[in-house]
Amino acid sequence: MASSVVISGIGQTEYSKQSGRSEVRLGMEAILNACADAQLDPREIDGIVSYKHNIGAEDVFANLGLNALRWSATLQMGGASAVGSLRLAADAIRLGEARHVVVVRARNGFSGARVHDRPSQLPSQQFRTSLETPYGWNSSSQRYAMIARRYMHEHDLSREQLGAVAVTMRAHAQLNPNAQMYGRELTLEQYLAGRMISDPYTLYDCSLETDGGCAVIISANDRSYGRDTEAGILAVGEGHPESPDDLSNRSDLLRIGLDEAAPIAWNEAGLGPEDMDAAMIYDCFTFELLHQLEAAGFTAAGTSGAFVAAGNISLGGRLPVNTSGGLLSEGHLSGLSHVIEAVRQLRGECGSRQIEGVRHIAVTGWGDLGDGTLAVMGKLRSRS
Amino acid sequence: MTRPLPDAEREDFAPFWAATARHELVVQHCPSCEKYQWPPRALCTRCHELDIGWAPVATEGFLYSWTVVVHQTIPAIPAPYVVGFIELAVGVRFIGNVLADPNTLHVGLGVSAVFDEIEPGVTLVNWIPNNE
Repeated sequence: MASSVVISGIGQTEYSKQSGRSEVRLGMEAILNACADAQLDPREIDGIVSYKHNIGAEDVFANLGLNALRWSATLQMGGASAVGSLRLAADAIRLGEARHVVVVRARNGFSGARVHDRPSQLPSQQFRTSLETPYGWNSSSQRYAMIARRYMHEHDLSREQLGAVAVTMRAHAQLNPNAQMYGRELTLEQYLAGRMISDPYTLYDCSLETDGGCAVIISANDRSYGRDTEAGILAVGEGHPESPDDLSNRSDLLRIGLDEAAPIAWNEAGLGPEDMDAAMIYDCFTFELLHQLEAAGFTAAGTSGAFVAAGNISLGGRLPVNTSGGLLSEGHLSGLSHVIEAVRQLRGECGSRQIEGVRHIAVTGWGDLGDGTLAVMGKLRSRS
Repeated sequence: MTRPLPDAEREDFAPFWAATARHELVVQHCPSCEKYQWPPRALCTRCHELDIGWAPVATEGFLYSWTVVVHQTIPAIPAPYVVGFIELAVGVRFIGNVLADPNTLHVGLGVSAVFDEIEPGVTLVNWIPNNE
């Protein structure tokens, strides 16, 4: 990418099971916090990448009175959209079509409709209603369990290795007072005793259901946002699996969108997995974190379980992953929370969970039935 | 509590449900490039033939992957139950319930279709292990 684009502002609300306010209100709080972080007047926002599943572009225009808004886009990649939005926003800024683009996620994911009760947001609903729901196959845990079970046939993966993912995320959350699981430790013994949801996934293999909001603002690195160091967007790749609307008939169930997205991002950044000081991996389920470590190139196929069980993704390990606690233990805001954590790490704002000397971080997104995105972010000097 | 059922009269699935009512299985089949295709789509995804037809396939296959659903998510479908991907010799895979002890399941397990008429015109397809 030619000129430098940064995440100038980050904002969030508390993450809880009972926000007590509307999703739009949560989103507005997050945006106002992000504007304050960037020292921007909210009316300077002139672009938005919206998400079709909660707050729409119109909600943002109307509630903030954004008369300057002149650029909008929507990405249809489910949870992979948050990271993918960084690419659209950066492109718009480089083309001069917008100056400050907002990306927001807000949901009452626990106190509102919970995950099993929500109508499916997946594409090609006729496959869901005709071929899947009649057989009792209708939730993310059940769908992704099918992928995990197939992996366990092709490679070695133990319950203890899946447990290492859950336990590591929970340990990281103990250093993050905003995490839903702050103050609630998890041992491997507790993990192994977790009640079964959809084999091989137990309760502790599944991400949280969260009330909350978060927002980021993407801008050109051509003015001061009030600090010396900025988190730059160096490259973003987007990729889709074969038949992105159907899991059942892919020639290889284990090949996912990130397999396509990662080489695009690494090539564009001129960097590789070995150059990353940390990674934020979309951990909707324990195995999907492992799966993405392999697809992004951090570990060879079939080796991610051993890599994690050896402590490599813990703070202080070779590749710290999800220092906030992730979707498994911080909260599930559809992937945007991972972008916020990467920005905080690159700016050095993470306190007791700060990675020393961090310069480059990879952030992945996973959505729908395996769409994938990868952003390579780096520490930049402010051009103020 | 009513069980969620497919709309057997949907145009894109009607030939399939008509076949299951006869205790047969059909999938899309391309007259131009001979591809067997499932689930049904608007055209042949390989050669883009628009006039894709249907062809019968065997009522047996093998287990490609599965999950045991323990936490119930649909009120009318009591857990636990097994959902599997069943791969046929022509390459397509069906989703269905596998009526077997979960402890006996493994990838490659040979299974055969059983037809379960839930209501007139709606016959679901489940799978039982072959005698080994």
